[in-house]
Amino acid sequence: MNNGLFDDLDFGDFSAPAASSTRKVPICLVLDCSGSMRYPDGTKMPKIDELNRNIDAFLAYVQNDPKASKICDLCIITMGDVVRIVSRYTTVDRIHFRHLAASGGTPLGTAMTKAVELLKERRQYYRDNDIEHYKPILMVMTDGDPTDDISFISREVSEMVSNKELKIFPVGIGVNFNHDSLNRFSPLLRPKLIRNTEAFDKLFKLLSASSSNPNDDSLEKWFNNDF
Amino acid sequence: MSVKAYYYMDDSFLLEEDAYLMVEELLAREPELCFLLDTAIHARVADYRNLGRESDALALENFVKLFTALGNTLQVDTGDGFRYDALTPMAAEKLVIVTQQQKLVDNFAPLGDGVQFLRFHEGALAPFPHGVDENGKAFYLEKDVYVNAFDIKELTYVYSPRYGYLKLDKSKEYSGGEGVCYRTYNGLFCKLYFKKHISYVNFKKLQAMAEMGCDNPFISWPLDILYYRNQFVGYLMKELSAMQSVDELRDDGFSEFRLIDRFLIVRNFLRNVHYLHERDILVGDMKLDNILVAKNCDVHIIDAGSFQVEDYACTVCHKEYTERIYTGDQLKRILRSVREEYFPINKIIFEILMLKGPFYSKDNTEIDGDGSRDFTYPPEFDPNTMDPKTLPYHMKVWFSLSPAMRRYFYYYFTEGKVTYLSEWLRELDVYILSKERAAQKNA
Repeated sequence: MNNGLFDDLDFGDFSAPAASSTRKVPICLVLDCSGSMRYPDGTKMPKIDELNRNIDAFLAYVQNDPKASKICDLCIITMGDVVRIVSRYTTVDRIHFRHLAASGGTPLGTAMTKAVELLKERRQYYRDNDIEHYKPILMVMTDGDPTDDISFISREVSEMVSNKELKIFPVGIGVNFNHDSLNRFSPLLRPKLIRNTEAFDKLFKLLSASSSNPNDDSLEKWFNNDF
Repeated sequence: MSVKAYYYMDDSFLLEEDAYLMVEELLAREPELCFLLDTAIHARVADYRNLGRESDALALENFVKLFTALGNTLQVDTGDGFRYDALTPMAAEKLVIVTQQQKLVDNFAPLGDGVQFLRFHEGALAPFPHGVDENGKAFYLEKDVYVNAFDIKELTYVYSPRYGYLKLDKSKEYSGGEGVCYRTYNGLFCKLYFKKHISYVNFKKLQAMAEMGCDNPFISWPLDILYYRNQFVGYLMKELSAMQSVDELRDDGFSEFRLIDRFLIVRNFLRNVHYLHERDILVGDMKLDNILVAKNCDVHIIDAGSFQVEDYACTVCHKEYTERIYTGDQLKRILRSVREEYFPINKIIFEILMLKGPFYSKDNTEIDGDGSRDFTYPPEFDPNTMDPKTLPYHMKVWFSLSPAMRRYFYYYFTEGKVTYLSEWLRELDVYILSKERAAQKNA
């Protein structure tokens, strides 16, 4: 668009950069793919299948929602045999999600360290490119005990949450997850227990709502049981 | 010269029809008074002349000449009504501020209780009314259960006493916090409420609004109450098509509009809000999604059912666009003040123009409601530290605003000093006109 009328000062190129006017809502999913996810635990099918089904639905929602598809900046990290970055922060149309398989342990400390590292990188990217963003959402889902050290990273994440740099949504799948270890990451919200298929669906439905409307606090309310 | 009283008069008063008579009466009553004229009056004369309002420009010029001829006039610089320090010595004696502008009453209030604020009202000078700051008490019922609501998503038709039975077009739904909207097959639009909003208070409010009516075609006003099996379920409004919300447009950088169009959009939006404020109606839940823009820059305000009308509260708010966070209970009991509405007004027009929030900076890229609300845009361009060619886009737009507009934003976001809509609209008129003239000249 021609903005020559506004050249009271010589601004050089004065065309609006559409990319940087799009606000973003950064969402990072840290997902447990340990061997124990192969079994159902209150759910109708194996937990890993419930997870895959819901991630498919979540990605489809974001892709089809005109607003979410623009603003949702999604990162997916899995933990199992190794910590794997399924997708760095990007729009959903660039994510080619292949179903996750369950095997190995639960290196929660390493996965969360990676999540924080990628989040810091992304925040710097926003700053460098004049991009506004809503408070980052980090959802961590696990069904068991961490198999590595979480002491340092849980303190760091906890401080970030207290300093309002991040919203964390800790989710325990089934009855065997370690409530205390997940709790150490989250000074404000108690871990939410997901014990059945309906709760799985509800969680991802509310996450979908947050992806298109970052001011929607339904997910937070559900964690606080006052939904 | 011994002075009995100082009278500060601004252009808003001097342009009132009987201002000459008032001045004559004052002189007859208090021959030793001293008039204070703001230096901004000269800029106002130029503004009115630019706008083609020659008679207003001449009227102000005549007052300047008259006061000069009287010989009992001082010029004061209040920085366009934002600073009161130039008036402090007069306030120590006797100072009367005569204005039609709420802004001066707000900004000069720290001068002390001894200062009198008057306005021209119903043919005479009268004390300036208070009220823009005050919260009122809303019509509220402790137990407000009206009906046992239906599942609105299951409904296929609704009934309007005015328009009859209306079949709902369920092919697309527009879901919000309070309910769901559907088109009807005869070109109208329905809002059906979720269970907790189907209340007696809400019903009475919508009934009052439908009876009241609205002659502004850019406000999506309730046309009628909707019922299903004789029970209140929502309200009816006209359908708006081929429009985009400001929320979508902002993320898209208003790519189909020129920069000057964004000023037109802001002006049209403010005209609508001004229309409502003049009728003591507040939008309440003012946010980007509730403002729709047509390709020709017409602006429509939707979701009128949630407006604050008479003593019916607006029971919803958006934390990013509210100055004060209300609990759900407070929202039902409290009537918001006009001043509170200026937070979303300023934030929204800032975002439309700059395509960034007012609290955005390199160090604060986050836009959450509980993020920092520090305003860091500098009021003046500094050629020693800034290169216009390397400024980011939003700063280029910022420095393209008129100095007055930058002042309005700067004083609001740093000191909470409000510039009211009439002044914003006049400044936008002058600005847009000057740009249009420049365009014609270049063509």
